Amino acid sequence: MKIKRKLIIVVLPVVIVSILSISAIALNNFYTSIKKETIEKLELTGDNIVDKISRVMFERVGDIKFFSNSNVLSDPNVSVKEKVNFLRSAERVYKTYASMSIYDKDGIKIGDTRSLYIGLNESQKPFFKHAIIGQTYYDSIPVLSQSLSQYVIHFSAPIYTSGGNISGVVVARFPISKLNDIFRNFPAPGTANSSTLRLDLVANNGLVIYSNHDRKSMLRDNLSNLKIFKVMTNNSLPDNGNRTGAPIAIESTGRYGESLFAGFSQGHGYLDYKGSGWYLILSESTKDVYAGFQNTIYEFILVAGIILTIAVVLILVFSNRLIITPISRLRDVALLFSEGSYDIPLPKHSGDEIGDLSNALDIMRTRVTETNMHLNELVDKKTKQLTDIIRVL
Amino acid sequence: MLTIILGIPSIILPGTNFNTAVHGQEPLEPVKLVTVVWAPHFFSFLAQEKGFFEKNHVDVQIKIIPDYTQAIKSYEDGDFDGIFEVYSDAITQQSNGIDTKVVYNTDSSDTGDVLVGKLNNLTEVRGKTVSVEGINSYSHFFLIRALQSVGLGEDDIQLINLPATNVSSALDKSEISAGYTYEPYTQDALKKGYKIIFKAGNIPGTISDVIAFHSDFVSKRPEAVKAILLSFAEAQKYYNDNKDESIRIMSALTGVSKQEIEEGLHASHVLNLRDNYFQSMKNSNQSSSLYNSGQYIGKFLLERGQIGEYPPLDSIIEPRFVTDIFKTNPDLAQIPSANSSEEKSSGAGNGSN
Repeated sequence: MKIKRKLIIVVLPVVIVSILSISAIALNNFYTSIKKETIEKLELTGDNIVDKISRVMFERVGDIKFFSNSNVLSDPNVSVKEKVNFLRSAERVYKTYASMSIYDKDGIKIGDTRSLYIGLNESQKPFFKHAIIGQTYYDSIPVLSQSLSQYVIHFSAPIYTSGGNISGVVVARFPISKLNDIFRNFPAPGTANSSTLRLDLVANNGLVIYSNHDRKSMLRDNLSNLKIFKVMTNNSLPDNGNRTGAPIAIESTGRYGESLFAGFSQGHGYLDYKGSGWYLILSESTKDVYAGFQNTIYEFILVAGIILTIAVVLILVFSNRLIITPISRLRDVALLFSEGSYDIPLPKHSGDEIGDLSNALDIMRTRVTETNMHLNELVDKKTKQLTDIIRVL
Repeated sequence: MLTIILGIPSIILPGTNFNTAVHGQEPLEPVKLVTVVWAPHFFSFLAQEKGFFEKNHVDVQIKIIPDYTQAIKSYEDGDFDGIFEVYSDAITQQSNGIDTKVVYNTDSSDTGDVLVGKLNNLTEVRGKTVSVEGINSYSHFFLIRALQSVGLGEDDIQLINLPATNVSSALDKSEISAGYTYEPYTQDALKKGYKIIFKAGNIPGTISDVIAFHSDFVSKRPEAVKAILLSFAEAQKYYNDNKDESIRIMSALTGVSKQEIEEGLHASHVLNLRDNYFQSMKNSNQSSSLYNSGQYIGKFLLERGQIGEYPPLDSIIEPRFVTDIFKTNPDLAQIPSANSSEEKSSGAGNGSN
């Protein structure tokens, strides 16, 4: 086998393994970096959204507490009509509530900003039962309002008389569609100006409260079987006084295939709003997350191929120039030696082994030449002696 | 990471979409439209039958969903590309994250949307129970505006939520004294002797029906939108020239009787291309301008917590298709406006926005 082939067989795998090893290390670092960056982005986004939700809910709690202590609602000399008009004015200012109602202490609706179902007994509704015993209440799971035929969150609180007694209950209905004000910056993936971020707000029982990518799932589908939800509910112990639980990030298979999930517990809410037990789930499909990474792999493969080709060419060029050619010349000279030609001097080489071999052969050539000359001289001398003897005889 | 590397072959041809037709033509998927039983929308069926859609190179599937709420929900869920709906719902959708473009104003209700009841006039509703179809909806808005027009307010009545289809029977049972309904259900009530105590035509522009599409669809298939509007306008022209035949066709395709269609068309100001160009899509203070009505509809919805901000009407209303068709189809543009006086006062010839 020729040296050239032997060199390729030996060197090429070494080069390939080296390139692959370096590429693998670099790609792995890059992959880890992208994943970390994405998780950080999800965590930042999620924290902001959860915080915003809690602040919006806190404002609603603040509103209902304000009505609870309002002099207008507690004043027995103010007519129900005037009280309702007061609430209507508030609605126009807040631009947040679908309707507000006043209940007497028996749970009978006595006033409503939409004039709906006056006289209806709602004493068994949670918003009344909690408020009438002095609690500020809000639904943790949106409820289909009987009067509005719309999903709302009820905020309720007792109405106190000047003597501190509870005279009734005030209720404000917050349409769940208002949450869209918070999420409007995250349009559904695939639509104009959208990102690839999927977002689901779920109740503590897994019910989807809001989804930016699947409207049909809202208040209908349950995500309690999702791995991220299970992990969150198992790990959402309140942390040390932070408003939200620590975010959790996992890679798992969801309805859109392999995805990167980040889950956020609402934790303690914000100030007077103590949270509703909601969870926010953000996800991005790994295909989207690593789209840049795949391009990088392509580039790596391309660059590695180019490096490999250059390496092979260089090996061939240099081995030819430094090894093969000098050895071939030595071989040619050796063949001339075999024919008895010792006149051609051997080429000079650098101080490598081939140079040493060349030098050694040159020394050998010199010495063979000298020996030949000496032998010739001896032959000539003996021949002359013999010639002289013959001549004498 | 292994998954990513192994997944390389699957994305080896990024951007390849085998559903897209080649040679730069429109994708071949039919455009899905939804409507309710409302006569001014039926021109779309006429366009279908007379081959206007085909002539204009657009494949359209139109579905009637009688329940308006269900039709709206189906559109919002993405089951349809476009919808014939009440303008205020397009505004609500925009706020609720369903990015929607209003591209055509089909009609402005006159006697199409009414309050019917046992009373002689609207002032008699004080202290009585009145129904609307959806609290804080367009019908509620209509009622509030109607009450305001006779010096009454929301607190002067008791309200209940009732589908327009059930108004007649609720009046029979004395559950309500008056209620909001629309054609053809108005006729049911009138046949039983109830009276129209207020009609939408008394407060023009309050209830307008529009053709709207998902914004994404408008961006991806503008030629299809244009072709649909052109076909619709051509159908309106065809109707003007061939009324009997047109009504017969619309009746056959929708299952609605010819009489009900005729009554439905008379109950509204049907708006043609010229009306759209000079009035509906023009940013003016005219009651017929969608920009004008959009402002007070937006205020109403905003104050009732139904939307999160004043509606970005420039984003919702998309007049370019009407403008384009108007300027390139003189035969359609010359059809007289239904409200010529408004055209003059709004400065005809200035073009739409």
